[in-house]
Amino acid sequence: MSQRLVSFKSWSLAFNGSDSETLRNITLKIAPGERVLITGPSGGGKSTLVRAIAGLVDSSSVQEYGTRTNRAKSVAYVGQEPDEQILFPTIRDEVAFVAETAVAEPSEVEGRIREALDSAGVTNPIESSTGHLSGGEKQRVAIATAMASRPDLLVLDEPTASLDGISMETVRDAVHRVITDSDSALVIVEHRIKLWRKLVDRIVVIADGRIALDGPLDEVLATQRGALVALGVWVPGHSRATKPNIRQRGAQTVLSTRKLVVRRAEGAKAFRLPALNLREGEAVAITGLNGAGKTTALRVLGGLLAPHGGTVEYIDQEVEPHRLPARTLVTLASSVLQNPSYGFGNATVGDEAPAHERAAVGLRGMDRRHPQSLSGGERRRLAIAAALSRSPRILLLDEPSFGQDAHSWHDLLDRLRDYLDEGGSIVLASHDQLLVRSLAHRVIHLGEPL
Amino acid sequence: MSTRRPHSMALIVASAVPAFALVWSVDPWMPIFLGVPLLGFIAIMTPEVITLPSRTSLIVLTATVGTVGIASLLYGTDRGTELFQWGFMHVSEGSIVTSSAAMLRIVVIALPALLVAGAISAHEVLATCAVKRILPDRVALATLIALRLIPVISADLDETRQARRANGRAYKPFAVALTTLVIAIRRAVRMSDVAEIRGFSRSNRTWSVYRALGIRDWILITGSIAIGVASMILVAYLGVWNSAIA
Repeated sequence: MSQRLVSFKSWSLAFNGSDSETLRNITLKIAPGERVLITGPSGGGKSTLVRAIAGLVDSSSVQEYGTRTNRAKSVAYVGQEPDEQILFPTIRDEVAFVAETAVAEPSEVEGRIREALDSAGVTNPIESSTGHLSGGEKQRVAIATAMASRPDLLVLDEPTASLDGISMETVRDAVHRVITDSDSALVIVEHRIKLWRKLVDRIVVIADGRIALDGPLDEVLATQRGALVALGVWVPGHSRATKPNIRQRGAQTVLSTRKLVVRRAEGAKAFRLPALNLREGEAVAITGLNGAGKTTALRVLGGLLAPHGGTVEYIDQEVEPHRLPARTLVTLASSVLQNPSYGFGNATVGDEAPAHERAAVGLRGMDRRHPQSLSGGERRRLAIAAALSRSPRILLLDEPSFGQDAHSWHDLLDRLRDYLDEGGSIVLASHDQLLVRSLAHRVIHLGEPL
Repeated sequence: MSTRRPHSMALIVASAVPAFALVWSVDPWMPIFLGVPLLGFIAIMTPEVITLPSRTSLIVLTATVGTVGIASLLYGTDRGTELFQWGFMHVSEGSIVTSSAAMLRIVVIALPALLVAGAISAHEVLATCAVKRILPDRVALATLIALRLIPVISADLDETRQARRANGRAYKPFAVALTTLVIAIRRAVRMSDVAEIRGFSRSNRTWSVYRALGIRDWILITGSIAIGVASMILVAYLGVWNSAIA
């Protein structure tokens, strides 16, 4: 009897039109019931590998060498972006889509839906609209949907990448429950070893397209700590000293608000912000749970949305930020949105930001690549490099540290601190407490809506 | 009496009857002879599904009725006594009748659909189409997924517009639409992977949402069609039939 669900032997993959192989000489076996964490530096090929494990490689767009075998009868996959995991208008429809092909009779479908939702800890009414779920709720519904087929192999690609701390834990707990109740093997891509440590028994580190380390998690953590740190892996209990940002702030106020109320759209929840006087060289962090209005606040402060109430003023500007012409706005306040893919306007990375700014955030040797071909973490750093190249007085960053390994995270932090030293000011929305502690002079915590 | 929810297909057929019946005659009486009993019949047969139209629907309906009514009133065929004339605009007894008929027709066509729209399940309709082989399974499923994507693409449009501004580029509708289209296609490719791995192409789907039409559904369908046919006969009998087909 075979003891492998998935096996790769001397396997390499290159995307059509690419000069180099994205994954090289991969030899990897995953056994039934095994729980594997795949981690490694940003842009190292983790997501490509995990898609191959799930059988999601489009053979018409890649060249493969070596052997790849998948013996799993049923594979379930949940990706990073919550909105892309949800296909149907209601929770019931979503889970039924899988349950309807996993049972023999229509009468069995409801039972299978209930079982899957219960196992993932989804407590929302079954007929709820999926459009109104939070990111964490969407990921839990996606996990329930995945488990409705009782898969041999559950593959998760950074399922908590865009979630706040509490939502991360609820998703982790959902995975814990469904895995504990089943014999499924688990393969999960994550930067945060600490979050998943109790669920996995093996770690595979992918760096520069190769398997750099592969072994039992506790053993690798105990014996290869130095190698993991050198590879940029976030090792539990080890983070490079990040002193609080105590450098001197300037005296001049570059942005001020008065009785500011923000709302994303007509009919949406409104949030009141405490008065803010942002000085040159100062960084202010906006924190709060998913849905607390951080992104909306950042967009109003950055002149992308009009305030619902109150005012925002920039230094030496009579015109309200949201009424400024776009070209003028970006020299005063440059915003980097949470998903930078919407903002790229050039066909190559080299055209998007100058070389010195890219190098400063750890992006080297990818001038001719298309911005959309970069990994999530690399795209964020490219967008920040492009924003910094416009030398704005204020930089507004929405979750800049998503998808960053320890090295790129520190590159980013160093560049942002330099920007503050040069007299720039930062408003930052982030769930990353380490980044907030390392960069921000002040924290504004957003709570309940009005 | 059965307490089960009316079938979406029955609601669609019942609410579509005016659209088919009113094609044949443009007289002002048929909308009344058809609309009043049909609305009453639907309300009696399916009281639990009737919901008041949303504010947006009412605004759109009022704007449509108003525009058609005013255009017919001012520029409709002149008959009878002329009551008002200014430039190309004429209001006569005939144009008042034409205008009233046009407005009534729009109301009678739209209102039944607006009243029951909230109870029509796209999933049930598409499951029925798939089980009855009116549509291939893949088309029915793809349509359902596309419906879910409408608000997502609308959010993409907002996001693209703001991202352009954040990068110093002015708002250009064509550029925003093009970027959103590219993003929507990329998203659709990723979502098609998710759909495929979850069984999009499997042929053993049980379509749990599908259910056969019940007695009440059949009564609703046949009763609505009967009202449509009866109204046509009545109008012809009264001699006010005004054929829309020359």
